[in-house]
Amino acid sequence: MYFFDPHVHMISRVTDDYERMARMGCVGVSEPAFWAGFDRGSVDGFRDYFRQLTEFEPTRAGWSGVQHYAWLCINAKEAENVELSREVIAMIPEFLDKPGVLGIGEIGLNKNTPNECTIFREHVELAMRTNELILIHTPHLDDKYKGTRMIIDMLLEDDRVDPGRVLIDHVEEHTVGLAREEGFWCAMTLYPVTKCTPSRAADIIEMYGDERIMVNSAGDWGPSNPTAVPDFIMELRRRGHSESKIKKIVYDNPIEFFSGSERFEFTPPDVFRENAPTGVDAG
Amino acid sequence: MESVQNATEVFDQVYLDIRAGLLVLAASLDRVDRSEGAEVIGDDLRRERIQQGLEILSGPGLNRAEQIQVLFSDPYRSGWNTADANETSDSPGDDA
Repeated sequence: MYFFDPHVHMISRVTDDYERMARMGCVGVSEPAFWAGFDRGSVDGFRDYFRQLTEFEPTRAGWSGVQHYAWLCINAKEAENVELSREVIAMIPEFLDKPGVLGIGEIGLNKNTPNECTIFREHVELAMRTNELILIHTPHLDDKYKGTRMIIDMLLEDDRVDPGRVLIDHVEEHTVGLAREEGFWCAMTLYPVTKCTPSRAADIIEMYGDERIMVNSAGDWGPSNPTAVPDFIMELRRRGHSESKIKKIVYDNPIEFFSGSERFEFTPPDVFRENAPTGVDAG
Repeated sequence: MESVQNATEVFDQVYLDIRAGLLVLAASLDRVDRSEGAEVIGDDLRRERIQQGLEILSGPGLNRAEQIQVLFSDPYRSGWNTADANETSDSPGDDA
């Protein structure tokens, strides 16, 4: 089955991961800007990062026949540096006309602090001013419930925000209902220990339905699995769900949401396969 | 997209997973309790929460996972972002 991984940090993964994902049916990935494991020191550091996301990663993905899309922001962990955050937000429009840039993300909260809220609102302001989709990171573990509610509160402060153009990510059993009640899209992350397992994600789908929801691996530089979406597909198959229902979650829904961006140009795999991927030796 | 399996089929599928999960839980708690200084863990809020989680597991309901998630969540204060809320708080959504 073809699938999209709508949230995976491929910059942290090796080219072999693209290859493995493609062999398991992955035809597209979207990569939000995130924390590199250390706080970057300058706006130029982010400018180079955004160049990598919008120029080299699509090329590298293409070697395996995977179509690559990106989201831009300064993440919540680095938002404590308000001055740098504002420099990055001011620089983001340089990249908003690049092919494959889907919007602003992953913005959100980490420890639910006042500075994080300030920078979150300023990212939302940028997205509203430039008519971009928004991808939202919600906090982990004990911070998640409160942080998700605070994020929704801040989004609802702004009448310009259309919930149909906002994806709230990393939802779990206690936050999925909050996002869906207000009309937002949401995504579940299949990630070891701190987020959802494929089985719990399948439970949530059975309880809340398959509208405006998707799953991702959020594969990154930590212990994570970029082929987690196929694990989810197998879980739904084991439970007897039809291929068409599974496809809706792992393929149709991401495409429907991403189509809200005028820069989402997706070539379906039956057409795409006519263009044979070509590899390059990195060594 | 409701479950397409009946309860017996589901239970057959998850029984060994539940059994294994209970064993992991039991062995982990045993390991804590047989370690030096185990008595202080009784005062640890995290241990108290685990005990409350076990009570949720043993009770009825269709949303035990959601209840346990809420149990392990920081409190949220509605209206934290309104004009009369304390704007200088270090943790603006706290219930405290």
